[in-house]
Amino acid sequence: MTEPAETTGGASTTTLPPPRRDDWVPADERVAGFDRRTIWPGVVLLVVWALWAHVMPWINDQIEVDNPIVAGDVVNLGFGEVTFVPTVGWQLESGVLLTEGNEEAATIPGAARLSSDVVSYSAKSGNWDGTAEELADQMIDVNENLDLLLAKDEQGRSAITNADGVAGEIVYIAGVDQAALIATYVFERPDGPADIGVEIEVVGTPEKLEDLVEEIASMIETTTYRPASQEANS
Amino acid sequence: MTDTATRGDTDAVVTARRAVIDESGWGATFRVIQPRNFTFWVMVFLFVSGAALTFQGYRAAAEAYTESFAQGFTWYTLFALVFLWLFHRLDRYSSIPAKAKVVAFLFSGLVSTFAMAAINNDAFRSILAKTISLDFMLTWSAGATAPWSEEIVKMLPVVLLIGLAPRVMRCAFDGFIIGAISGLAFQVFESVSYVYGTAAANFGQAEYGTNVLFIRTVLSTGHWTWSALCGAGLVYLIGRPAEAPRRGFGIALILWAMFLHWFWDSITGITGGASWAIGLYLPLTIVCVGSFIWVYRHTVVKERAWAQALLAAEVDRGVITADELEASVGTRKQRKHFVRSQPNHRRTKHVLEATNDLADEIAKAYALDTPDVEHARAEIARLRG
Repeated sequence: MTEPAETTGGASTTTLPPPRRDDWVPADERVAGFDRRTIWPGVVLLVVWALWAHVMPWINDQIEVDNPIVAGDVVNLGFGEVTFVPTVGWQLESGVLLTEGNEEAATIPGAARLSSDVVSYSAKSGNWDGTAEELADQMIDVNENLDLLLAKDEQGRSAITNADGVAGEIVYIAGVDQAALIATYVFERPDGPADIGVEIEVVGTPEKLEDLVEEIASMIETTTYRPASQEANS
Repeated sequence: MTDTATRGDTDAVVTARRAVIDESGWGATFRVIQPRNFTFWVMVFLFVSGAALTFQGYRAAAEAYTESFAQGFTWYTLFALVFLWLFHRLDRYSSIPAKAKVVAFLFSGLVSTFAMAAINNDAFRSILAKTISLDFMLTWSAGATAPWSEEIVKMLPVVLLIGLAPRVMRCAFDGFIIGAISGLAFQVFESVSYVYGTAAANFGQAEYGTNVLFIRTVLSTGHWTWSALCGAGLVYLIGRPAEAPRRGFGIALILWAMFLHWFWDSITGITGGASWAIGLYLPLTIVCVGSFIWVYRHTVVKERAWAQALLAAEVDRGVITADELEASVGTRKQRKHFVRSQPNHRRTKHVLEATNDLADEIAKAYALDTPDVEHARAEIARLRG
């Protein structure tokens, strides 16, 4: 602020206090050259930042996931209609298990993530009007843009079918340290806003994926869509 | 300006005005770059880390979900501009410099949202899932996390500005306005990520993001109302030079805002996900906006009193009439009533606006009769016709 010249005023300013200086830091208000009065707000900002961005994530890292799948568990990916049977012993990191009377706990879109050792298995359902192959392409595209998959080279594709005989697509992608499987299904839903797509991503080292191939294949195969009305009729 | 006895203000008037200006911080300037200010360096550090995180997230989203990101970003830019204009209109007297408002907006959007709240929310929700259950986390974790995690970091722009511009942040009303701006910034930065996040959940299809954009625009009275309450509450809690601490009241305001936030986030859990639950957002919106208006009315009184004290001598000088002063520092209703009572509505509105300009100029000139102040007076005479 440029201070006005005192002479321009009508008042005789000799008896008035001098105009303030916003930018002046008195010598006795300095600590290590900083304005003492500006230290506490800065400290508050730093403390909250440290707690929010570092301490809480650290606490979270100290707590192990202890939510193992037991026999009979079914993962609910939407309205209790899109489900899969997870492998016993894997850890459920996120997602909802199917419980009677609470099927709507997971709506569409819905997602779940399981892990075993260093392999992660994520499945998600969502609205999709297109083929399983198109869904696989779309998700490879999105993942590349997000840099989520460390693997990049597509090694091969094949058609798969689930337990109900619905056809899907599986893509194997290899990288230097990590390999990934992307499996997709599209389930027809005549009365819904769109068909339901399910996409499964399995990421781990190539050796581990190979070791666990049967467990993974079983989860992919048991991924089904069974509308409540259909179940009632059958 | 030759005849100081008749045209100039007396020392008593200048002294009285300076007391008001000193107390209110009216006309105080705001400089962003202040090397001697510790808070400034903390702000620089946090801006760098927050902006890096935000741009990383946004850039990846813009590549993966281009259409949805563009929709969200464009819409919420417009949304933010409209609300910033609205908050600017509320801040009529002793207004906070625009630069300070921009800093508060960016700090909340870039630092509070993505460099603090998003990280803390994810970690705390994960802790709830691991220590209680995944089902509990899904239903209740938003309400158990966001009210404290988000409301606290949305108050940080108030703390930041107290450090950067202590002369600007003088009373609860300043906390109220900066809080509202902070909440708005949090809301728009977060909403952009919700829009592309919903598209992402549907394999990147933009139309699902558009639905969320629509819903979040209709239900948009959350963050900025809660944060305005918290901003005012924080100033009452810690006190400022022109605001004696009222700790109980301050804490009550903050807790009330957190309660509203909790209720908003827990409607699904409370109602068991019933379809009629959506209807609860209407009364809740009314309560949120009602609380915002109540705190505005409560805090603006002080600013009006300052304006009144600063302009009173202008009535004695014959620059404005007592009625004009009353209307100019009155409520919206009083202003409207006064304008309607005058023969030329348009002209009266202009005179009232020019009276506000005069108050700003007097404050900037630290109560001296500078050419700028004289010009502001001449403008009132010209507009009166």
